[in-house]
Amino acid sequence: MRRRLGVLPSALVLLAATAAALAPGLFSPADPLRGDLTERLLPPEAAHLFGTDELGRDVLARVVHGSAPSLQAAVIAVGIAVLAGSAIGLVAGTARGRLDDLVMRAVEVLLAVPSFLLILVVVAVLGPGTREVAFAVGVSAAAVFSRVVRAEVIRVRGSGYVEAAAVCGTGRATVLLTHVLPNAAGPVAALATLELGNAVLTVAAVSFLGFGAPPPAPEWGSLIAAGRPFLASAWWLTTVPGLVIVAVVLAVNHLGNVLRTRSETG
Amino acid sequence: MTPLLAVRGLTVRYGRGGPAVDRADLTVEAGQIVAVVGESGSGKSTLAHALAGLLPDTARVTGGSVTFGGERVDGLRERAWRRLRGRRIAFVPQDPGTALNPLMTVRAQLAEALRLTGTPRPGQDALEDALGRVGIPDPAAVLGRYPHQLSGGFRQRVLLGMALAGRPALLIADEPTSALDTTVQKTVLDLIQRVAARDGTSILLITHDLGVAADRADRVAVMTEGRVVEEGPAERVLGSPEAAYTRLLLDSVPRPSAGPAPTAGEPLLAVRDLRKVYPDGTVAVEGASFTLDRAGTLGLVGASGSGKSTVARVITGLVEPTGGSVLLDGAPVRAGRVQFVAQNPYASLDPLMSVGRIIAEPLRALRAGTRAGRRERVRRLLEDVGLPPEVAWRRPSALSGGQRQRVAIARALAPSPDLIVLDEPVSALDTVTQAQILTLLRRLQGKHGMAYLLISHDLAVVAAAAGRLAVMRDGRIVEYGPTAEVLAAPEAPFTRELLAAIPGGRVRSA
Repeated sequence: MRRRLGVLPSALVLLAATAAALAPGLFSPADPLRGDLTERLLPPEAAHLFGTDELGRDVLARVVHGSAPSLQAAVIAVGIAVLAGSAIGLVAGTARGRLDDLVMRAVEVLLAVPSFLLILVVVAVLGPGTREVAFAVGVSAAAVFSRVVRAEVIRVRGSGYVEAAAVCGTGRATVLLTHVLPNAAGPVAALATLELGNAVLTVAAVSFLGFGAPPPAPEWGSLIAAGRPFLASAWWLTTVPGLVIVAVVLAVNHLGNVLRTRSETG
Repeated sequence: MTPLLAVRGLTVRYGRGGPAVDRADLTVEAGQIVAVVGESGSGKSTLAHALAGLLPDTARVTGGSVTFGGERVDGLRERAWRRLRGRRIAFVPQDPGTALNPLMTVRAQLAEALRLTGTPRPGQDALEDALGRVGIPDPAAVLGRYPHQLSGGFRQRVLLGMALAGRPALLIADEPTSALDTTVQKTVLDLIQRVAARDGTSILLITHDLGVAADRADRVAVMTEGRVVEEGPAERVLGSPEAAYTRLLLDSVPRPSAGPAPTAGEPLLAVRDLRKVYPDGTVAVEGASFTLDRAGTLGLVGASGSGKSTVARVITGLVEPTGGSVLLDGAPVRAGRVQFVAQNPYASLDPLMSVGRIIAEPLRALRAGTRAGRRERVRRLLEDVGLPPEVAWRRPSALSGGQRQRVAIARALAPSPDLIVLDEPVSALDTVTQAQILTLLRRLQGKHGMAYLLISHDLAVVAAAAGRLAVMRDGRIVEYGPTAEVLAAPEAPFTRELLAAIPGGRVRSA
């Protein structure tokens, strides 16, 4: 019951972020790309809730319009990680033996390389862009998923109902799809929400370094990077997008934790 | 003289629910063995925990009194309980597999128990003496071991040694042997009885097994739904029971089937020189041979580790044999002809599937019938195993253990198999449920005419259901013949040992 605390605010934050990504016009009618040079570097006020940047663009508009690429990249990254990781884990957990050893050692190598380095290498090969960043983050997170899925598959495969299905004459593929995958899915779903928060953060970090969408397109990470020269005179340029990232990551992590505790206590 | 333990009108509730123990009365005199008998959920374990001051935080005593040695002990604080527990009242928990700390040696855990009884620095002699008293032959060697290096029976003895180290006045044993094989159960119970007689310790024995109670107790209390429905001297309660529930329990005790020896029918299953060696070199089965007649029942009995489960797994095709042959009607087993009911009904049903889908699984696997046809078949199967049709939409978690086992049986019946392998089908169930399932199996065999291979560690269960009997030990079949003949004149020493270990001779002969 104590875990319920904070579920509602977290859900509201996520709802707002998702709505901003889907319908940015609802939150800010201003154009995120076009600014008025006479209104440069204005602090937060009624007309510009989050102030304006060095080109007179509305920061609220840029943050709101930046949520779509930022969140999209995180969701795609987690999607890639779940799909690729589950496939690898399923194969390794089902085949066991030689193939299992081979695949899992490769996964361990992947885990041993610092993930940020790995992401930068992949982005360096593919070139900058939101989709490329998403792919890189997804690849680096897949290793964790493959380990969890493999462990779950091995657990479920040893269970009484999988044995019973084998005696019934159910084929191996059917057993995997109808018994093993659904019963292995719980921890994967919990891990996916936790990983989503991580992905938001990583995507922002990569775009902060300048590998995300090219300017002037707004993205949370690149907004912070762009505001950095004005840290002393215009604090809102870095603080506002920073706080938004913190709020979203905290909300996702909290919901992920609640989900995980639920799946553990059954 | 005041009794050692007097419980008057004790009521215990969990949260806001109804009482788990409802106005229970119980008396234990010094030196007596009192058995509390009941099903799981009858409140007997809650009663035991309440008497040892071990109720969880969610439970509250809402009425009644407990007097121990002339003093009220209900409502004692934890600190006062700790002074009492271990010295005057000892407790042996149900599962010896989890009650010992796996990371501590026996020596460390026993020393801790002795320290609690007031020996600040127990020496080697004191430790060895504590183990020697519970019949451990080489105490010095056992002291240095970790729990996982000991067998279940030895772990239970170590727990007993810890409990009895302080020479308590009362020992509360909560199902001390239900996780053990029948032969090990006998040695542990013998030991408890002997130690009690020697030290004058009173024993409160919590058990679901009426036979155990009948063999060991001076007085028996029968519990159901939180209430003590009958209490009295063992002979009186078991000889002329007054409560309807006691009679039901007595009727549920498995008795050897009295029917004539089965006439040799048409052979269905032929197992020849079966051998199974696991990759790690363990020889599980060594040259087992037997035959099973069409519509007959063969009982396969043995202790855990005797290889009987491996035989079941080979016949059902889960494990490839190393050598020998398994032939059904003279040919290798075809898909769907042999079905399987496993021991644990909590593990053998997929928790995410509806009961209807679970039962229809073999039909889907064999691609038998249309969707509507399968649904109709599931409805008839549920009727066959005595479950209402709406169960088809529920998930296994909504069912009791007995109901789950019925679902597992319905699934095994679905493809109309020639043979169903039943691996310990009732050992996870209460006595009454056990009797109901055995009756159901008999009725289904009469109706559908399939053969059973019934595997169990409990000779009583097998003798009640099987016409023929095979006794396994260390991977070999040491005795094989019609049940009545084996029971009347067992040839192998191990069979005689198994027979002697069946608790409740008094109850069964009644």
